[in-house]
Amino acid sequence: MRLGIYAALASAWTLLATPVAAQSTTEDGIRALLRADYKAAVRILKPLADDFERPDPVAQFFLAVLYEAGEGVQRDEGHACGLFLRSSSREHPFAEQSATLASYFRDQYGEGASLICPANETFRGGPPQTISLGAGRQITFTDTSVVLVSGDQETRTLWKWPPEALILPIQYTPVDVTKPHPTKRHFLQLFQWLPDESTSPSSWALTWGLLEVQGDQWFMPAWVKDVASVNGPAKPEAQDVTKFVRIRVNANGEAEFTIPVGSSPRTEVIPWQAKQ
Amino acid sequence: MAGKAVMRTRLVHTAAFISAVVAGVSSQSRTADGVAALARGDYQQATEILRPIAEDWRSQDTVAQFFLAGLYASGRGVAADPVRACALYARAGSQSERPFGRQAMPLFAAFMSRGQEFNEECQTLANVGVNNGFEPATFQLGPGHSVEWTLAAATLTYDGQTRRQPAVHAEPGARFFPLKYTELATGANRSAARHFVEVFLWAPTATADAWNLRWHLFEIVRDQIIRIDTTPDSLVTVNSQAPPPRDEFDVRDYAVVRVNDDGNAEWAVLKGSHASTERIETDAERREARETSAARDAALKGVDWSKRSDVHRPPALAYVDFEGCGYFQLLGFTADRNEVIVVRANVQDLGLSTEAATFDLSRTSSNISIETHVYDAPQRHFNFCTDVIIRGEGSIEPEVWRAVAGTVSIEMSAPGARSGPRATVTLSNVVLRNSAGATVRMSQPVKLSAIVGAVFG
Repeated sequence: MRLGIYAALASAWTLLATPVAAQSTTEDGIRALLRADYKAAVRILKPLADDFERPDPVAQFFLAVLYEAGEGVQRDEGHACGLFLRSSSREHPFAEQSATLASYFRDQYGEGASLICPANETFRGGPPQTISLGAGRQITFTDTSVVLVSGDQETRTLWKWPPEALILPIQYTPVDVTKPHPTKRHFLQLFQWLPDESTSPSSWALTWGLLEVQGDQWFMPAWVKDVASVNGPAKPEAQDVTKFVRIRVNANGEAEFTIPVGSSPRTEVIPWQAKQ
Repeated sequence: MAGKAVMRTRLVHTAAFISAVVAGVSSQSRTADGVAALARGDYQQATEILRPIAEDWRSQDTVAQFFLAGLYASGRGVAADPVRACALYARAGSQSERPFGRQAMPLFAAFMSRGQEFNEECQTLANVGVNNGFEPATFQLGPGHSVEWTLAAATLTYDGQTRRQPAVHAEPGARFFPLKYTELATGANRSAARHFVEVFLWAPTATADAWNLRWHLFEIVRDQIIRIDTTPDSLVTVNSQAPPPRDEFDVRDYAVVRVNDDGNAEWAVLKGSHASTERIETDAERREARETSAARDAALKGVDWSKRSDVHRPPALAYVDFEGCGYFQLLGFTADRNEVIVVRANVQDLGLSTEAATFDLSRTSSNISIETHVYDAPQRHFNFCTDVIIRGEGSIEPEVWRAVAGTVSIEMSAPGARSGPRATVTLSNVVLRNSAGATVRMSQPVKLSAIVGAVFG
């Protein structure tokens, strides 16, 4: 029912990739914002706000205002809400305003609030996992979003992992292909263990998702529910899951994946999906 | 009643009126200094910088308004004042396309849970401007009888009951004088106490280069606050960027409410080309007007508007309700509103006065005419005493009967406080004739009486 909202919020935004001068302060960002130099404001405030270890709550507040107004960035109310919420969790001169604005938006999101406007921007309890794809591109995974940066273009998609899943670190697998034309293809493998029953599981199945980044877009060309399984209620121990799926270039020069074991072993060519 | 306490704390603020609009660019960087000070946690400096910018009633600086609102809400750097905080958010939020205007709206909305009275004070303050000089006051009128006056409303306590009603509508930028309460001892032996509250304020013109002194006069009668109309709208106009300093200007040089030699309450405008004095209607006069109007409303409710009658019938000559206008026309209506008698008299040429004068209708005179109009359907509106001509119900022109004989006696009263004189007309042995030559004679005297002198509709 809330999917419409999620889709609407999965919007693209602009981010300046220009490096920030080391001495730029929150006050510099505020002054840039107030003289309507919004791109500079984003450039200064974003790293201060997004610092995982020591996020600056004042920078978060002003960055949220920019996201909400769509100034210097693509308008993204949900992300603004999240920044207001995280900003309000610390004491500072704008904390009360942050809190009121966060609760205003969260009230509108209802049950979707924890996804659209999360209290924490983490991945598996730690910092968001960012993978550099080279050439000004990177992809970041959080518990609630997938963020693709391509040059000054950035796409943020709400992403919901099953709450009972045991999510493994994202695997980046670049492959040089010759078909359909010579290029480097960027694959990201998403492994997660899913219990057969969330409260008292008797077995765990390994789900494999394949995500590919092409240009400033990403796709999910494959999603296989049980590439492997373990019996018993205990969470599967850490192991090398990459052995359950292999990605390589076949004799034709195409990218393909192979699932050697599991319920339906197979080999498939990974289709090229981007619009020409 | 949190709102009351809040309004009182506002008395503290007597910041001087900002006489010039700060130029856009310098204001912008000044505002940035204020916000930067705030970000540093220097609330004192932030308040010093942001207040004059945000509180000028002409200010469009949504940034200064937004952040000063935050200071008033938290009580940091300035005494906490939720009404001011709310009003500043409202002002900023009214310009959602400007920086922080969009964010101000939810913060304004968050105050709405504080209840209607708070909302009224907030929105009035937002409209008038926070730097308006208004000082709330409570006046004790007698035992258990008091009125509390705030910017948005007057709350009257009488006989254990409390009634709140909107107070003065003030223009944006208005600067108030302290409220004035006057108790007058009226009546022949000066024993009847009457209670008046006056609101004086300077209202800026659209271009804010001149200020008009406005006077709002109210009488408090039991549980009613009655607005007394005074003229002119502006007691005086001063051409300047700011109104005269409050302590150098005595509003009593311009207007007063007082007791006249007859013991009546009156208001007086003392200066200027519109200097004038007018007696203030008494409680009894107001009651009579109310009762007349209520009786008319009740009578109209009883009319069968769908009823159709023969337009050529003889007139009924039984009139139950009266209206007057000009100098003068006097109208009498039948209970079913399908017949009206119209008495026109030229007061001046006839030399009418408070002494009854009698005229013979068989001697034609252009100074008196009496007609009865008979309609085929009840009429909500008669096309007399008005320049608004409304086509009545029914489709047939009324049959007109003109007085050709008989006597008419006319008596005028002295004018009332807020109205013209009452005209009382008695028709005896009057013969009316229609265009076909048919006649009808009044078998008994017909008496009409109404206040005249005004034009309505």
